[in-house]
Amino acid sequence: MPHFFSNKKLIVFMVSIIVLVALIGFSMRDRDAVTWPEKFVRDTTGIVQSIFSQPAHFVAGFFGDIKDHLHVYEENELLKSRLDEYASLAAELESVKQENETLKDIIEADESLTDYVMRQALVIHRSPDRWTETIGINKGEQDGVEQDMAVVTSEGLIGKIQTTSEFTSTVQLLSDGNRTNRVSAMVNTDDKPVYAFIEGWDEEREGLMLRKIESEAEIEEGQTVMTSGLGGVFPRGLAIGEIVEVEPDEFGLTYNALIEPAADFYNIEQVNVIERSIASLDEDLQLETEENEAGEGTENGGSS
Amino acid sequence: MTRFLLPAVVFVLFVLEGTWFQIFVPAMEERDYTLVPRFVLIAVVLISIFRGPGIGVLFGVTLGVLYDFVYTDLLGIYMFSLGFVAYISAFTYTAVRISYLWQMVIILSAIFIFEWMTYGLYYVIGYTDMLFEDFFLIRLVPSWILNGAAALLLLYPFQRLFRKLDEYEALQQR
Repeated sequence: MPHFFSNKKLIVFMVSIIVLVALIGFSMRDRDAVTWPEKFVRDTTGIVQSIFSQPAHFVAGFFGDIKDHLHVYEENELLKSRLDEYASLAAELESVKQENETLKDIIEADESLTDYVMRQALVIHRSPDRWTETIGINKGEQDGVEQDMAVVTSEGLIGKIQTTSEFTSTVQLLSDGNRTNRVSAMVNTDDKPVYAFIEGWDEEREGLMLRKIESEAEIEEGQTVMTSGLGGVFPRGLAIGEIVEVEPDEFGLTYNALIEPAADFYNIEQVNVIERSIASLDEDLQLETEENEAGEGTENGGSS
Repeated sequence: MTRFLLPAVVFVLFVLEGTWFQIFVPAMEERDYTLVPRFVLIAVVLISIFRGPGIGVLFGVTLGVLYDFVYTDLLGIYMFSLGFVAYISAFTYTAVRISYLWQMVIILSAIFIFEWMTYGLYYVIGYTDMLFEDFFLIRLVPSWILNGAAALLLLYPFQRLFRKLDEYEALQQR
């Protein structure tokens, strides 16, 4: 650095710090959408990234296959033991489904929170600096992907769409430490489901934190956790994981639980973006309240 | 053709950080250190040394903006850090240009400054609450080892590239 802090350089340095602070401030806001230069750059690099990552996934998959072949025997034994169990479960599922259909017909409900449309996408990049846990996928607005949609692998929920551009989108994984990263979840207990929030990732114990569980709820280790479909645009019933630890929170009013995620957040190749078929709850509620208000209005008019 | 070689090479390094590296060296739960590739940083430091601070900062800022746009949702952090590191590592002396040892020393200190800066910025805006000791052991030391090794592999090809560019420019001037 031959002439580091001469006057002119110092001014440039100061100005760039101001620009830095302004830019961070601008992007820290809750942005609904990214700006067009960002979209443009993401789409262009997205093409190159797809070209690079497809063969790489193929090669990595090939070595993964070889590794799998070494464990084929043990796996086969295990699967055989599970097979009988599976047959009975499948039969039970079928009968329950039918029953569900008839019950739905009776109450005339066509749509439910569990219905969704699925779109397949390929992972094209992962954020290399591990400060944020995000991945990029090769489907964007043109394919109908929208912000806050749920993203799953075959094993379970991995995250939600954070931002979209025309041909790519960014997925915020559940393991991301951002405070805004929360998912409305439910725990399947023996009687009725217990609702709570997935809030963030526990670095030390390597698991998701389920917070704000009511203290009367009967939560035990081994119970499964899935999305509740109550917040945002997630459908109901996407697997998240299994409870491994339960503890009271710092104030003793509610419980916290540690969840071992069902999906693997590290080797992700194919993901599915999930769009709930039923319109978001908020709109329904708004409609209802509007109707109510209208109704009340006429009633009031009549009485006065 | 030769003119576009340098940007193309750096862009490929940039894409590799997010694609190939993440696929072939995936993070694992059992691993308690974080490997972060900084190939672009190595390239930017070398550009600063061989092509001067002006072009170095230009490359640094451009790639920083790319990094911000594509990999993070926050704007400015990488733009500023990469530009700054490119500027302070512009030791354009002949003694540095001919010595691999000096270049390695500069690259390793650049990695330290860069990692520390990005950590500091993320800490200040509340994206991480990692302590400095943890940061040192979990991120900085592994980053030194990984990117030091990568720098050893990249030094010679980059010197060839810069020599080629010099020859090309000399030809153009004639």
